[in-house]
Amino acid sequence: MQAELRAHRAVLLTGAVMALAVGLVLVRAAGYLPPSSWFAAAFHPNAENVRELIFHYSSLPRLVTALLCGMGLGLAGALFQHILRNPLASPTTLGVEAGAQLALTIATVWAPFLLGGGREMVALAGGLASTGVIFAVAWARGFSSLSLVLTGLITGLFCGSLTVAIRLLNQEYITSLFIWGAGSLSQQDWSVVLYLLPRVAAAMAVTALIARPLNLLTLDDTSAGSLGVSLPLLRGGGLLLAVFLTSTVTSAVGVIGFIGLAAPQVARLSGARRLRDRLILSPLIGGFLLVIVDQCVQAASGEFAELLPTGAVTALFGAPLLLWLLPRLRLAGAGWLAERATAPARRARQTPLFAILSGLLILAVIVAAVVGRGPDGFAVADADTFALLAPWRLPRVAVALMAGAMLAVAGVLIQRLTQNPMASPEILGIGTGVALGLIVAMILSPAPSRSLQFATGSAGALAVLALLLWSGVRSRFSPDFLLLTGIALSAFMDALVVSFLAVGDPRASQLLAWIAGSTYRADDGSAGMTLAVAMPLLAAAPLLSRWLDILPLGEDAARGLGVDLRLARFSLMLLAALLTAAAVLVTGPLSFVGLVGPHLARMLGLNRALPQLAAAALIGAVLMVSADWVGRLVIYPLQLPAGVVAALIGVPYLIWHLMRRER
Amino acid sequence: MVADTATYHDAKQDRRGRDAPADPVFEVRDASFSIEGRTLLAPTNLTLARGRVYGIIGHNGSGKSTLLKLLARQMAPTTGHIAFGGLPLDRQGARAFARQVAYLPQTVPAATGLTVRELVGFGRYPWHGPLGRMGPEDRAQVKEALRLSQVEPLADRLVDTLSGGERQRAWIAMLVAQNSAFILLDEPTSALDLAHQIDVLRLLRDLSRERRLGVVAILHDINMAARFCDELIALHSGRIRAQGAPDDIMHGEVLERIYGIPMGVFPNPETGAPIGYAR
Repeated sequence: MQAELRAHRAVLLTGAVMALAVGLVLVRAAGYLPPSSWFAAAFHPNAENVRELIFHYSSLPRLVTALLCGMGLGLAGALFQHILRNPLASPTTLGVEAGAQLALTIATVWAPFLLGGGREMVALAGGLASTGVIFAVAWARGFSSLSLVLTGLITGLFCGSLTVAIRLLNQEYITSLFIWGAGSLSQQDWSVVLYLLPRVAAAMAVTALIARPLNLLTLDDTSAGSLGVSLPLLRGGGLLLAVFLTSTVTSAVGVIGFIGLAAPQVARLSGARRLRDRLILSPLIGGFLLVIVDQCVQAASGEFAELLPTGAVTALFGAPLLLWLLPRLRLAGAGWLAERATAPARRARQTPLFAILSGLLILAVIVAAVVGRGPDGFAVADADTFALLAPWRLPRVAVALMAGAMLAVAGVLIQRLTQNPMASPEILGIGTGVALGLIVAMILSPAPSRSLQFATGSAGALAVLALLLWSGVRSRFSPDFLLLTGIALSAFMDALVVSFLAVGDPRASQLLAWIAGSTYRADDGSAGMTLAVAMPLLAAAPLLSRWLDILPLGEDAARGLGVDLRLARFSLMLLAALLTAAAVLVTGPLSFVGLVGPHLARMLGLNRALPQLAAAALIGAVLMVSADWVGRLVIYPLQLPAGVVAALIGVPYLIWHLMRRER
Repeated sequence: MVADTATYHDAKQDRRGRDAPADPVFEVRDASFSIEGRTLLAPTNLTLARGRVYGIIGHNGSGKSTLLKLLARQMAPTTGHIAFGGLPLDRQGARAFARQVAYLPQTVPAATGLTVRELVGFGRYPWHGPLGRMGPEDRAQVKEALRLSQVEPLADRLVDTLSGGERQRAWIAMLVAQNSAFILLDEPTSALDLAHQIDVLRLLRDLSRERRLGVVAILHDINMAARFCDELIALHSGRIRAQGAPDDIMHGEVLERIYGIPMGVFPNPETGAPIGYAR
């Protein structure tokens, strides 16, 4: 009885969403075309009436596109969540969209002929590749919710930074790629609708066919297997279907975040308990939700209506929704996300280890300073040439070194604070806070000075941090919620940044170059400034090492030892934010050195805070200096940004490492 | 307020009449704890002295953990107050309090990547603080704690690789290194087999005797508690239902009131100590 009432509530809620969407559409349509001519305009527009033409060739197809995309993503999300039994699974959180987008970007730039054979095949290949990587990692780690979502996130961010790098090197495509990449729904004709309609319809038909066996996945594996279902086939098929839907939508309009996460969640939370209900309601909610968002975007953006990407705006709606959802998700037991670092059972002999790391750093610095590439190939600078080159090369090396060390140290602080080995400044959204601060600096001043950039960048980082702390206080500093809040914030800020880029602001390319992490503009001034900021911050970290040692013992034990938890956590977060802000200003937010550095240090057997801090700083510095050097050489005379190179080196290593680690 | 607690303190000293005035005691005065309208602990009065082993017993949800967490200052009472050494808990600095009272939570992380010696060294945090160095006094205390807790041979092993009983002893050694007057333990024996349970409880009793430590532990097994504790505190639905020496508690009708099921007692055939059983 009560279950039935709840199902009714879900239907009612879906009805309300639909009614709101239809109402919005009608009101807006009536605004520029009298209702009496709608029917005629829809089928046979009067070629002399511009409004009827716009209605027929732009407004109407845009509406249908939004509906179809939302339905496809809603269904994909419902399938992911059901098959993976993970309430946070979705096309966005699993990195499927980012993978598809990367594949399409690569194809656009280097192999446009592939696109002729079918965009969705390219997107599908990309989506499947990223899904494959994520599952391989999750498989190695027993498919825990944490590994799935965090690996999805890292893979997503990684694909994103690669996409940025490719675009940066191919400026001529930049604007079109950007608007598309951010999920613009604007249409000029019915071709996208004709592309989407059969594919989404087919996917729905297949879903209807396999709905009944899928239902058995609600049971645990052994009972489902004993009912005569081929589990791998069913699960694989269902996932393939979900990836196909996501890739189709991505190839048509780009990345539309959060609809795939939100729609099934709304359906579930409003009472759709049975799989059948969720499979029917999720696409409906997703479709009409996207229509609502799109209508709002069109109404609000005015002159930018064609440019402001709806996909970016869904994240603005979606991220707060995720924050609202988090406390309501019935997650399997407390601490479901808390994954303990299984430290290696051997202890490192520290003296030789540090000697090797320092040696590596010195080697990297020397090579970066003297080895370059000229028109005639590699060249080792002699004394005279070096005197000429030094003012160009040395500041870069110094900046890269400091930034790498600062990021890695910030990573150690955050990993120990959240007791999670997969946490990092990147994932907590601090980098995106800096990006937001930079946008503010660009708005305040046409040519923002470095100190203004540092001030607003730090303020952005602190704002993110304050939000994290605020949610931390509310959740009693549960590390899981800290991480998830960071994820949501990061998506939120990303959406803001992408919107800024997409409206075609001329300063966008400056921001883009920064996101990719360039050190090219480093000169004596910026190197001096980075050094001046980095030295005291880096020196402060060891002073906090006692807290860093004790906090991983758990909240209660730390309090029992007389640690003032609020003071300790506040100081650590503050220092982490300042370090991240200072580093990210020169290397961009996506280098992943803050994730890889501390990880490597621990894998080397350094479990105490102080040695881990020192080793992570050295590793981060080596990584960043070599990344900068490699970026200078590989595509000479062009340059790859150091942040992207560092990510290209670090992330595959990390993922490979996570994959082979035994359960 | 201070005068009040001082009077409690003095009055208590007089009544017990044997402890030196320098010996701090726990004073619980009408302390209660409720959350979201549910009362987990009704107003409770209790006095705990050094050199004794207290066992807190009771059914699940009887308020045992709440009482212990209030004593350990992990939570603040909703009403009433708790004083230690004559000073209300909320007026004491975090480290100053940790130098007097050590606490072992019910669950501790399994993998820390630390050696036993390093873990025990953290017990010195309340003394040297976030910036101070480990001095000779600290090192001597760590050594002594390792010896007293019988984990010296394990000192350079990783805590992660120890068995359940050894790991529990390592954590207790950390508490010992804190060199406090009291140690509070939340179910220190719950995950251990019989031999290790006896091991840990004997260790706690010996520490209490040797260092005049006040030991307060939540225990599940009534017979273990009766065997090793000087005093039992029995809680039922958030109230103290019985309190006294094991001999006073170990009667069928008292146990029935505590556990809410018919209970009986028979003498241990070897020692004659009372053994409780469910009828």
